[in-house]
Amino acid sequence: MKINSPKSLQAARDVLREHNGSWEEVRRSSVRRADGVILVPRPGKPHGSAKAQPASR
Amino acid sequence: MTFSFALVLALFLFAPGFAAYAGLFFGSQSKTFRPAPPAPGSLLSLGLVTIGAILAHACGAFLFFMNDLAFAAGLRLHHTEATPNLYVAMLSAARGSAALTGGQIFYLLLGLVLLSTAALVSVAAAIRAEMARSSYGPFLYGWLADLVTEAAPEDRYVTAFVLTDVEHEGSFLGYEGVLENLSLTADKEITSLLLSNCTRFRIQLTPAGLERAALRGGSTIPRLYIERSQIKNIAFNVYQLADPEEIQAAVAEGATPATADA
Repeated sequence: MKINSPKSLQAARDVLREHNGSWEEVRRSSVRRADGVILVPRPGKPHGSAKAQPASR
Repeated sequence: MTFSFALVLALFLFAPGFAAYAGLFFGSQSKTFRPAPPAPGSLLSLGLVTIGAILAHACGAFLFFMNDLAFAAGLRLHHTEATPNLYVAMLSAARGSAALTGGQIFYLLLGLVLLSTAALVSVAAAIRAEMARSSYGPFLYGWLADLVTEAAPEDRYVTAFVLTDVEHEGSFLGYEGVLENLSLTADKEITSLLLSNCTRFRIQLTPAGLERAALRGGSTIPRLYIERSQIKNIAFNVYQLADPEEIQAAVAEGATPATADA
């Protein structure tokens, strides 16, 4: 079964390309929400090292 | 190989059930609900086809019943000289009480085609209805239902960390990539994975904790097929494209760096 649509796959490729083909770099500019979803900058948008606050406990 | 008339008749009667089955597993064009059908000879397939056929025939018989009521009420919406009720025609033929005329045979087959088409279209429409997904998602996807639901929006994609059984001096080889395809058994066990844009990493359990490091030197693998026998475990990540403002808002609400536990 397929989970990612063609649009999603293209988005993933674009994101990876903008981060020099490194998933590590993708994660460095991303943050993880409490529900587990990782927010990554849209391709073409400025991105850098994510300055996230530690999650409150 | 010879087919008996009873088998052919049974296949005809099951046609709406097969159409409902096709609508269930192949009707959706969206990525959200496109489950793998169970094995053709499985009890689940047989049950789905049978229930689909019964429901479709019940709906068809109800329409003929309403037509009869309307006829009795004098509306005469749709009644011809030949019995238009395909069930009456079929049962009469099965009892041998009357031979079917050419018109009745045509009417019978046309009725089955229309009924099958209606079953396919209605089930495919139901599959696409967002409201109903939560109820049948677990049935179709099993443990993957939550992941499939989370990955549904077009601005999201799913990646997978796959730890393989390739080991060297206590370090295991793993791959990270975009999840292209997932093959499941009827019991929803993973049999194989297809990843794209893969990078390699190694993972090692040390006294200080779990150490994961990307392997340098290799280019990104465009597509990588991994079989179940090579898989130790899998972790999934759902990514969502976001504007900088959304990311800042998430940080303000307590989102943590994605590198912290990835």
